[in-house]
Amino acid sequence: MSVSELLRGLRWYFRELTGEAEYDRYVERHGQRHPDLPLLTRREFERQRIDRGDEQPGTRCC
Amino acid sequence: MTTTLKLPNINARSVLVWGTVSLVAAIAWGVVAVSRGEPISAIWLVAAALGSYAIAYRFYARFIARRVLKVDDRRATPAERLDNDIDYHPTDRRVLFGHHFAAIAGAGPLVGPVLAAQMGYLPGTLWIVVGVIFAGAVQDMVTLFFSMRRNGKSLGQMAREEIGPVGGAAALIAVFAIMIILLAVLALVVVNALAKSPWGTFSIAMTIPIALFMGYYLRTLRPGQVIETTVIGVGLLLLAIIAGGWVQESGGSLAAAFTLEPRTLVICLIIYGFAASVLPVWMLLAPRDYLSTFMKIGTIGLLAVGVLLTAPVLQNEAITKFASSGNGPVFAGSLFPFVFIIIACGALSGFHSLIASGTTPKMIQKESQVRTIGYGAMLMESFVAVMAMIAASIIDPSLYYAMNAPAGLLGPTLESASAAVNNLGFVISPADLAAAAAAVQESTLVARTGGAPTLAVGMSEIFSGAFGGDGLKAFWYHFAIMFEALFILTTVDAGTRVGRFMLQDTLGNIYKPLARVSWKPGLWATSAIVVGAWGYFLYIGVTDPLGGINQLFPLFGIANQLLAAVALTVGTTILIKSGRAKWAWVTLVPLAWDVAVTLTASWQKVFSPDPTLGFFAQRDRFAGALDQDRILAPAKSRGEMEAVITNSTVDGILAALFALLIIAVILNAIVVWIRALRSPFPLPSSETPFVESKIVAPSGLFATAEERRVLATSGGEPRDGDHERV
Repeated sequence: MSVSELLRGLRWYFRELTGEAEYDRYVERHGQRHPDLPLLTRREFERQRIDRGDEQPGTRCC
Repeated sequence: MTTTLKLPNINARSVLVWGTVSLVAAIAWGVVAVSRGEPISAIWLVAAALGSYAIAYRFYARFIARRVLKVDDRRATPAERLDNDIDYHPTDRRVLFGHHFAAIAGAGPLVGPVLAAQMGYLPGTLWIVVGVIFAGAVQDMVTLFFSMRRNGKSLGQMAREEIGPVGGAAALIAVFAIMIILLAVLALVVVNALAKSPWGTFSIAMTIPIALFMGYYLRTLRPGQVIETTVIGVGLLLLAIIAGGWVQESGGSLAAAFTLEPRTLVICLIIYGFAASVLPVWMLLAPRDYLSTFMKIGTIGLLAVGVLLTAPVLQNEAITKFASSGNGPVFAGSLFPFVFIIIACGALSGFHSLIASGTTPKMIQKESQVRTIGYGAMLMESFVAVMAMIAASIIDPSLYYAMNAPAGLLGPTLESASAAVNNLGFVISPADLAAAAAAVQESTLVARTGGAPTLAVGMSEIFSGAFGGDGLKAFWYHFAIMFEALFILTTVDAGTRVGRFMLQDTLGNIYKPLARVSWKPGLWATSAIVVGAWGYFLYIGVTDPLGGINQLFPLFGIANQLLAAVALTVGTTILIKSGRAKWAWVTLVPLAWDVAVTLTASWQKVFSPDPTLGFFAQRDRFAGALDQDRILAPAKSRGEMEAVITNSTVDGILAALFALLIIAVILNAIVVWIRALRSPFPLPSSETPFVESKIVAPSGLFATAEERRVLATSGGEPRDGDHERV
């Protein structure tokens, strides 16, 4: 594995782990799933995403 | 009738590899177990643990997945069937492993082993490794699997549906009770670590403005740029640790402002917990969670590298005299059952079943991945616990007891502490105690109970040995304190919020508006109740003359093991009900052990005539003395005597309540088991029906050659991870 492959893999991993990649996936699938709804901007999407945590807190263990 | 006997895929290479791993593990255990008197290297503990994990994962976890649970990769998981891109979403197994590990690992596996080092490193390490293999990782994996087969139902829901209303109600009470005690004990660990330490207090206080800044940055300046924001946050965090040293050295009014008494810290934490529970998550909770996850993974990795690089020598004995005498100063009680109670999270942690039946089952791509995520992530947590045991065992035992015995025993001065430690049979001079504190630039290390400061001293030894030398000892000490306090405060934030939701949900059945998250008075009232409940235990922990950790930590351990009993009972019940009684021993054996441990511990805590062990005996001793107007040490006044009496009563009632809950759940389950065994056909199942899966994905962390071939024919390496719809 070359250094650039390793860096690309790490970037992919952290983008997935932190949820940064979710917007890309949303844009990609928007057309197939909800073509009738307007496409959210990144700002709107991230607000909705983080505000969902107000309703469903994730448990953290000891 | 012919049966095709499918021989397991035996080849010479596999036999050689697993033969070698077994041999290494066996030699390492041999060295660890046999050596007496002469100090051994910590590397042996690491080798014994890692070798055992590898064998358990390869053979036992595979056996459970294939034979007992019968995982079926042709079956679509809820993530695939119900995919809504919100809570249900098929997630790459390596990413989900990271999520799941970050959710289960916290301060628990770091603190428990430090306290259990009182019995020596051997009993604790044995339980951490054997316990995780046969109990903890099994519980996590089985709960994850059964919840996944039920669209991600929670443990409470499963207990109600599979066992009955009594089991369900007991599970709910157990979850709430453990949450309150857990938050109180963890907050107590933070208070003990920060009391009178301007360096630590300043650094931790700074995490609040750092998190607020990150929240604002992520909300308005750079939406969605989580990695960038976290990198900035971690940079600021390191700066805060360095600046803490400057604040302490300045010695002026700034240092004085951050030199806080334990009682003041309690009030700060209560206000903080309330604020974190009512504020929107984007402001404080979410950014703190990013920081804490990053620090968790980074520091644990660093610790593993440090242990391997420095190969420290264990100073602790293999088995100390306190293991059998049961009169150790850190916590009372003998090896059985208390080692198994105190090491809560690293070996078997009931709390994990809440996570394994929460978000994780809704994100899993393939059924067979429960082995990697459920079993594998728990093995990693166990390894964290082994490293904590190492960190506690490489420091001088006399310093260990000077740090971990209650303040009431050690007295107010270095001389009194030195004398008390000598009474325990270890030698440390007042000058040595002063030097140990000076090395990490703390005013004192005496009676810094709770495990965090001890772990920080051990970690600073390891880190300064590996990176940077003695000059950086104080930095690494405060780095370790920061890292633990950060996790704990994140757990306190999230736990208060989860507790509040549970309360809102339950009380919502009585008065509807309370269940609405947006109704502010309900939000504040339920937050206040949750904060008030753990705040009460935190306060009595801080003011208890007998030492809060000594009194409360066993209760936390009992509550956590009780929750594990509920999870294992649910697992056993489902196995029996679905016609797999012959495999029920997989969860029944750890359940029987866990119940024996928990009930013995509760029994002793309630009925023991020894006042250092039994809460009611303690109460009677102090009440009797007070009637004759006598003041018993370590209490110094009538008020303190009364505090001991009240606390012992409350703690004793709780211990009894926990024991009754566990008995209720199990009796109810046994009735269901008998009904299921007598029934000629399997009882109705709450499992969701079979739907064929259209996803291809590897089951282990690394794709096998065969899995790569299948992936390649199904359309090559896709963009988001290794899964592809065919």
